[in-house]
Amino acid sequence: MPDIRLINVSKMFGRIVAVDHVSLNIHDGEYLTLLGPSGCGKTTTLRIISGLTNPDEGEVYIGGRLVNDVPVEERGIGFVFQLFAVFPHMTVWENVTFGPRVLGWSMERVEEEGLKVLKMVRLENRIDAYPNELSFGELQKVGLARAIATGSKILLLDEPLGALDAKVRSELRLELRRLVKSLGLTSIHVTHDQEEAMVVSDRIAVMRKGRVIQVDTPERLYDYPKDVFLANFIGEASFLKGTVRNVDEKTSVIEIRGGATIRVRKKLFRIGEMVVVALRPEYVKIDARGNIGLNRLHGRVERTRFVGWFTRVEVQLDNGDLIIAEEPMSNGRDFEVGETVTLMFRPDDALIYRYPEEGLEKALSLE
Amino acid sequence: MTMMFSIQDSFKLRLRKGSKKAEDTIVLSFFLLIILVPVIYLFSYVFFNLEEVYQWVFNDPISGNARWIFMHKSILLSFEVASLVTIVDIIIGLPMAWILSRYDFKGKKAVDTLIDLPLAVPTSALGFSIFLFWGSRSGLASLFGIETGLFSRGPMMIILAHIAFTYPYIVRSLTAIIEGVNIGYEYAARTLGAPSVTAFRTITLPLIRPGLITGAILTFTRSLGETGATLLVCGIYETAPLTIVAWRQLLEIPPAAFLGMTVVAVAVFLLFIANYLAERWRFPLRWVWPNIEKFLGEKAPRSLRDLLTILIFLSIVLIPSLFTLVYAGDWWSGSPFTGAKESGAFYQVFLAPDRKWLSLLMSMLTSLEISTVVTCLNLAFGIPMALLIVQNKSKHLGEILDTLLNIPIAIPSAALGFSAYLFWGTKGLRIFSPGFWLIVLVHTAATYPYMVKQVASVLEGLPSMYEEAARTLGAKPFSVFRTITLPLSMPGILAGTILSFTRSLGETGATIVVIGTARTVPVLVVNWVEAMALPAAAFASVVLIAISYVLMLLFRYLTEVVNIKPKV
Repeated sequence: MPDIRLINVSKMFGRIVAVDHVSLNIHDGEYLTLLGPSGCGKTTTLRIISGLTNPDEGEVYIGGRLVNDVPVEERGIGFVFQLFAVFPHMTVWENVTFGPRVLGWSMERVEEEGLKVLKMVRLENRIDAYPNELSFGELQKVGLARAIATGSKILLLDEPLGALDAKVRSELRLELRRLVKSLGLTSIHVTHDQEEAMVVSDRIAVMRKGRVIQVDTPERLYDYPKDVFLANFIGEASFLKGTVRNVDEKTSVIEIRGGATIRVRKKLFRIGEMVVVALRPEYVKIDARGNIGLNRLHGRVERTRFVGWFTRVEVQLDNGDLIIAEEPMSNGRDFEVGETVTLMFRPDDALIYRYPEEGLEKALSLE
Repeated sequence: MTMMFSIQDSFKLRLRKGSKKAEDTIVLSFFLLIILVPVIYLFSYVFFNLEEVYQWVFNDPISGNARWIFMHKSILLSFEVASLVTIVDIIIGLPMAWILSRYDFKGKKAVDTLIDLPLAVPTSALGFSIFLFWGSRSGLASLFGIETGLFSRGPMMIILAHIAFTYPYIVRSLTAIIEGVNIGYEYAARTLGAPSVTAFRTITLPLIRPGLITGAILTFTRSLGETGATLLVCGIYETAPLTIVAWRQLLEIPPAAFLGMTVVAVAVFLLFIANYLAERWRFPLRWVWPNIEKFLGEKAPRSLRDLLTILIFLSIVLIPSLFTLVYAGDWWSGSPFTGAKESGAFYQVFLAPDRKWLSLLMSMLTSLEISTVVTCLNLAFGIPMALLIVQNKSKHLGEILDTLLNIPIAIPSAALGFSAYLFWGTKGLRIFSPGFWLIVLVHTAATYPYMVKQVASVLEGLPSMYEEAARTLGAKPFSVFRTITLPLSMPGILAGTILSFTRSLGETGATIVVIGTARTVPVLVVNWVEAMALPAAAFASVVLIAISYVLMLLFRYLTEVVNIKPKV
């Protein structure tokens, strides 16, 4: 089973650097997602792996073989397109069996494989339909079946669920992962939808402005994002700007705007350095029964929003900063706008980063 | 497990790259040889025979510099006609384009088809029709009881003929351009208080400025180069293309070459000016005439304007173009004036001792033969060229080829024919003398750009994802082309085929220059008119118009109705 390696791959379009010295190792049988905002280079990277785009620099290895000069049709990959690319002048059957027929398989084998993959996506009773008779979800299933019909062990997916509506999307992504895992394929999936990435992937490679910033499992990416951008892009976070006031063996004390201090269980920075503290909403509790050692911040409720099994509470601190907290329904409490509350969180649960050079707003931006 | 990238694989790769290069070279060579080289040869012929040319034109022992003077006058006439025609075309064409792009009404499709009608009429038949309508006693004059026709052959009729012939082009390109402007801008202007006419003048017009100028220049060059229709309505006057034809027929080659070179240079020069001007010309935006323009936009004046536009279209373009049909009907069984059977079309064509029906049949066969061969050549070499252009769109090659393709369209057909005559004939390679194959070559040169441009635009519109999908599924480039690209662009290819066939069928100007003893139908029409067998000529025109019109309808059907659009 093949693995895929990218070594120092770069691609420019005119003066725009689309892919900036990207190196990636994708393990055999792994489901990796390339995640990032629009324009971050993830689709270009995928296309370079497929051979549809040629890199300006760097090497691409598939199964240990250098494929830079190997044309698309010989790389043995399956590709699923965002806009389906299902051939409009062929039926579902003709589309799905296109690959096998091109490879010159015997009629029996073509039929066998065709039916097999169509059963896998549950479209075996639509084989004579033309694309203009199918729904978008069905079209993408055809695209998927077609891509795996030749038995390629690598599946590349370019925003495969992007053109589908929300419900279809959430169903199909589960089917996708199930299919890929049952066939033992190595998959690279491109998306800008963070939730989608978390659901389908073994590992996620987050890209921004042509570079890979972090490659990790969804859990680790969520719990240990490498920089402020990731802390914001993956999951949600509130940000507090502050200065380090004191550092001892295990903790640091940070003073935020307005004078309040918080204690965090990290000692990464020196006294006097400017830092950013990121807090995930689920770690911020409101008016919890006092535990020693918890950080406390005071503020007023700005807005509340009922989400389902929790309520999202936006609290404006005395110093003007905004923090988002999650109040589980199970607590049975209600907060009113204007109410004064105390927010609490454990020192362990805060993420700290050096204050970004370009300013916080720029560092968080999706551009 | 590491797989070695085998030597075999690398060889196959290089072979494939190599064969693609060979393919491309063949396609490019065809293009250069058939189209560009003869034109360049024309220039080089003049330069290498400078002394001879000089003598013929400026210092002839008998006529002195009479030819130069004549050349002067004919070029001047061509320019005057072209300028007037362009201005009139824009004035009457813009409102029509407006109607077609912004209105929606019951008979719109019908009007749309009618606009294309003059395109279906071969130029010689068109000229003949114009002459009949304006200049013979059977035409418009008969309504007023005038014996000899409203206009006589000459500049006025040339202008009328050129207007009829260029009208569809200008309306089509203006329509496309106006449609390309987001109507939202006009709405925005109107919510801000501008009446629709002001919105049009200050918003839409500037936005279509480049296209308008290009359209105007193309109309100008087309009029400049028109030969076939002009032949029939010129009388004793001669435009530049006609002079080329005349001198060629007199075998006065050097001055014909000189004149040909001049008109080509002018046409190409204008072509490049088009791009330059398109960027810099400015419309008066500042002047605001709220009251006048508000008035013009109101219902009554608007309806009047629309009515006028359609009336002008009918009376100056459509009916004159098709008048041959009426004439042929009137004169079918005999003269409507004297009743004499011998003057009737039926007699002249079928019963007269000179067996015109046979000539017509033979010419029809010749025309069809030629057009078929030409279309096959265009398909074989034009489709790969279109592919080449589309694949190299981003690189300079694509742009250069696209610009070069405009040259045969812009230069006068007579000059195109003449350069082919020089290059392939006795003054050049000596491979072909006037006759069937030379006509084929000339027609190919004239129609090839249409095929390529049509196919290229279809290929460009094809989403690349289909071809990419096929490649990811393992199909080699030629397979992809055969199973995906070709089927999906078939309507466009068929449209290009019809366009090429129709144009070749109606080609007159260049054909006359290279015709030997063979006859195509358009040339036959010219001959019969010269021999004053007008009803017979009318009949031949009708036959040709009928065939062309059917083909034209097919063309529209293919380009508009049959659209394999993906669901997305």
